Amino acid sequence: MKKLLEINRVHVEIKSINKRSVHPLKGVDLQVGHEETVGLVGESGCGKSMILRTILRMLPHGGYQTKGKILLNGDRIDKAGDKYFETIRGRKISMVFQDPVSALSPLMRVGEQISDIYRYNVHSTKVEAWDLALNLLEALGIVNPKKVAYRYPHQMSGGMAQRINIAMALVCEPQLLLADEPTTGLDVTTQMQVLELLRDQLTRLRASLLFVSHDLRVVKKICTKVGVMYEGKIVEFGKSNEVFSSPSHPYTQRLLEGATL
Amino acid sequence: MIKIIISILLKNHKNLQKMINQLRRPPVFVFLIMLFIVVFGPLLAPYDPIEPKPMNTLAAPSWDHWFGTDNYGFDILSRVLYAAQIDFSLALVGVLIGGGIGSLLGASAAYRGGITDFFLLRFVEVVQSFPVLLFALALFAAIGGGSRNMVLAIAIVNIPLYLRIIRSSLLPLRTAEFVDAARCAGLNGFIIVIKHFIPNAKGQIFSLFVLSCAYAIQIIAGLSFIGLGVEPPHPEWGSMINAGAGYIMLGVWWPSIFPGLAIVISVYAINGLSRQQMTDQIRSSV
Repeated sequence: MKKLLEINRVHVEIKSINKRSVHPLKGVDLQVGHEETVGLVGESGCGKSMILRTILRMLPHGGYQTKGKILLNGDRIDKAGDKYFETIRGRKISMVFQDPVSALSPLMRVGEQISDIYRYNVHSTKVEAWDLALNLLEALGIVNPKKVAYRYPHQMSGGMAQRINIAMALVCEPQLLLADEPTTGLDVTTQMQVLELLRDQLTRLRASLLFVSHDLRVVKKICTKVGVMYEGKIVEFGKSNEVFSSPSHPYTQRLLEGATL
Repeated sequence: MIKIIISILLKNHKNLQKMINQLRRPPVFVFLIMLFIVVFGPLLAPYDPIEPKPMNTLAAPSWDHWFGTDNYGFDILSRVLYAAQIDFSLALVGVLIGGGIGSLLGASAAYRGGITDFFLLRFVEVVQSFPVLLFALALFAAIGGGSRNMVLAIAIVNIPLYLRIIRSSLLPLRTAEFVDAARCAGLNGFIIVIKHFIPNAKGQIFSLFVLSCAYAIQIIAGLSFIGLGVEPPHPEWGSMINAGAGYIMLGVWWPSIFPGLAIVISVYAINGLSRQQMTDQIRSSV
């Protein structure tokens, strides 16, 4: 059976005019199967987020993929045209960002932001999309979705805003969700709530998750597989309990020593 | 100001006191009178503005003709009132077209960056390097005068103004996380520009809109003064000043002074309104 997402020896370079160019990814190999939860851990600046951005073609200015290929269900997506790629974003792969409040448009009601994504991706009517957004908010554990949908992002707590972000990412029922440290900005109790909800929704949609975090505790809790990144490469990849119990790479060993699990 | 009028129309009487306070401000008060004249001017006018009375040319202001008559025997009060409607509507349509296109292009330039941004900015520099009146003259030489081309000229003159200001005020959004999030969710560029970029520049667009309306009235009057734009028998402030200009030395001051005053008062009222809007915005944001 084909893997959902395959990344083969991907290199990324970011060029800049007056500084020398940076190579954040130096040959990354990664596989995400169907209905799998993969975690990526590593220190700051090792290229964890850059992998997610490369998959969705959201590289910063001047950045581009130099080598390697990215396959989704066996089809190459890194060379696909921009028009076709827009149909992948949101509908097949979507992303949740780190800072929940700044990932929401400050001048739009959150209900409209969620329903807009469904409306323009699936070309449905406004009412249909709005109802769907309300249902999804309720499924994400928001007590009074009708009232909350009319709020603006600055009127919400971080945990609530992150649920809105998750709703935005899941409203078109993607097969793969990329999460860029989605719980870093939240306190410990809401962290666990949000993660539980995320996991429930993923099982409901039969979707996979690629989870970037530097919080080893969270990764150990929710991920079935884990990859350890160091300096733009994945140095160790395997089942989560194996990696955490018997790390083979020296960097992983030091990382686990530094963390209190 | 506009918000308060709307809320009163929606029967929100809590704002009635605020409305009365607004009316105490001179520009707002004058602007509302202007607005009344623009809407109901033709009904207030005592005579037909393009019906000449050859027996009664250059009559001094009197009870029959408050502002006097001009060299064809047209009643100047009626013409000033009719001209208000023509001037304001030409300015409004021109600014709406130009401002709409300009804001859209400015927001697109801010969103796309790169080569789109580069070429749009060079376009702005080319258009803005000509003096406005000279640019309009060249345009009229190419495609002819008339009120429709006047609107076109005003639109083209306004595009770079809006483009540059809206672009620079939206530039920080290019790297904003919510724009990235919207792209990741599969929204295309056009929808992001319309729904995420433009609303963030609402304040700037509105202030600029009010200011450029005043400027457009000056341009229209200026072009009509030199005989382009609105065709002569139709009343227009600029061409009325021009028609009366030859008689000022003979002591016949009324054909020019009254349309001139109309221009001064309307531009003052509009500019004052814009300033008021700006201070209100600053106060509410502090």
